[in-house]
Amino acid sequence: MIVEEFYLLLVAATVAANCALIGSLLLLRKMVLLGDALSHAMLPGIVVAFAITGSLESAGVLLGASIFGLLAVALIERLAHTRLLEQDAAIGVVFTGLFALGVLGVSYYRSVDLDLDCILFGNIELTPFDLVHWGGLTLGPRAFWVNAATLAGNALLTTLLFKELKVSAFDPEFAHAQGLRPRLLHYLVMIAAAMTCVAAFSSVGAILVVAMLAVPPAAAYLWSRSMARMVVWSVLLGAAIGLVGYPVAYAINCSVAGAIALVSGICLVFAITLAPDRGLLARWWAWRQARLRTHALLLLTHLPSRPPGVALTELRQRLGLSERVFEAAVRYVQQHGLAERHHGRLIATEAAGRELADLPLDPSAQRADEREQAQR
Amino acid sequence: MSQRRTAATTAAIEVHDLTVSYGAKPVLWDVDVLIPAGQIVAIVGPNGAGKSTLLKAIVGLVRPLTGWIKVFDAPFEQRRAWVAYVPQRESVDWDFPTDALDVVMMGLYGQIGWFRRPSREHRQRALQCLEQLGIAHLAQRQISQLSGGQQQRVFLARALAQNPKLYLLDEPFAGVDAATEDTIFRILRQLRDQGRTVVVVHHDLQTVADRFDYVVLLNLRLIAAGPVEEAFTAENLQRTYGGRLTALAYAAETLLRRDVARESQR
Repeated sequence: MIVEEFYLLLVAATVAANCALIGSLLLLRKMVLLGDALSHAMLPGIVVAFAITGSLESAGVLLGASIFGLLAVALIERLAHTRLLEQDAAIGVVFTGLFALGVLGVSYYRSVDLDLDCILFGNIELTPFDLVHWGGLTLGPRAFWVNAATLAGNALLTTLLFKELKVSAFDPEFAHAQGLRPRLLHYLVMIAAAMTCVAAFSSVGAILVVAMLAVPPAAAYLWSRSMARMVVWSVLLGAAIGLVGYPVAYAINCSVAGAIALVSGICLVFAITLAPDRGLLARWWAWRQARLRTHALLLLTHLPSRPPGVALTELRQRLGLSERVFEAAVRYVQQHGLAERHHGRLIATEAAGRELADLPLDPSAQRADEREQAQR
Repeated sequence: MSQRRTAATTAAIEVHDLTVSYGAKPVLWDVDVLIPAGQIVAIVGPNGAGKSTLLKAIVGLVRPLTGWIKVFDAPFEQRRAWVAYVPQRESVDWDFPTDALDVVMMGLYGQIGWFRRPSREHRQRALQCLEQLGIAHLAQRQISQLSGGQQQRVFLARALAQNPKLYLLDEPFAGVDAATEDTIFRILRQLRDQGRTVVVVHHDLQTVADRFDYVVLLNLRLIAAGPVEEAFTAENLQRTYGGRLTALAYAAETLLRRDVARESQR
């Protein structure tokens, strides 16, 4: 039993890492939806292969799925190229069309034993029992070898053509002018995505492929400052999610593929909340700091630079700020050496003048000092 | 000044009978134009006049319906290494996870060649280009955190890294601060003085007379092309912009008249 569990973890990690790698390339090209499309468009290929071989575990299924995956890629490209539809619309039309074809096929063969659930949700629990034998040796689960082979191919593509992939994703027109063939690279990525979906679908199912393609790259994207780091983090996170998914499934007694998707969803929530720079928390903090500074500068514009200064209550009423906001602003200007307190009254320092000089204030407006003088 | 201009007789770009069409409606009609080498050239015209399309046709991004283009007397494919194309700033996603230096390095990818990795020398070269634009201190900055002017400087630095003979810039001054505009023009003049050719799709008619040597007026077809003193006339502007001549363009026109009057007084 221990060996089976090890095999299952191996398959889950390989599938997830593989999807995460190609998913990060798709994300940077704003084509994550393509993964969704491919994983659905393969269905008729699977049905045709099933009709011919009578089994879902044959190499024919992989072949059939590949053919329809590539067909979907070609159709989407042709349709988008006519400019009759935008790329996203072309993807939507092609994949629903092919998927519908597949559903018709499945319902036709239902009597025979073609399990739609298995196609959509996969059957990772069974992969440890489908082993590769060579001579007298057991070489591990077939699903592992299929996914490891595509992972190797994808890794080779990404490392060899890293800079070409980067420039063609960031600025395809510039890449084209330099002779770096962005269209060729585009096709390579699409083909790699199709092969990845085909390899992954029998383990995690067509729908979960999409989660694995989209979630680890999205989390890594929020977290990374360079494409290289994003790709590496995405793959590591994918593998980690794959590994954690099985124990979770075991603990709550549910499907492994479902648990993997659940874990990846939780990871994404963490990434969105906590990511540096782009995360919700980081953005909220930056916004808060900016607002506090604005209030503090506003306060400074009303502050005289000579004694006796201004009483705090009077100042607060003049500015019309709430007590909490006002106190935060007072603390800010004191902490930054922009104002000092003398006998409960506030006086601006020299540094305040320099801060205010950079602000786009109306130069004809009276300074606080002059106002004070005029009042006297 | 003017002597050098007349001496420059070789053509950087030769466009012959060029018609480009997206779908049914042509965006460029039978354009014939010769852009001389060693000058700063403005391409002006109203929105939708086909200015950007002309640049894209030169670098093979759009396929012409008819006609041909030669760059330094050869098809563009043979002259790729001589040409730096700078697309509009808005055409790329500035949230892409990368820093300023990395974007400038992209200018060297063509030279580095397929499958190879950039070396330390390439990094050094890219850093020099950022320095030329006065933003070497922003090398490690995420591109999403650069201002519009800084992003445009990064784009020009990337073009400098390519070390080309011909620069094609698509609206490099759109949404850019005055300091950046001055820096960019200063560098463009340096490039011209080194004998490079600079072609700029331009919107601000007020700066054409002072800052450019040569002007191409375009509105679906070629209206006029020539040295600024000859071609940038009120009449040609009227023919280019027609009823759409905006207040801004009128301002440019009056400026121009004043300049011409001053010239003739001398």
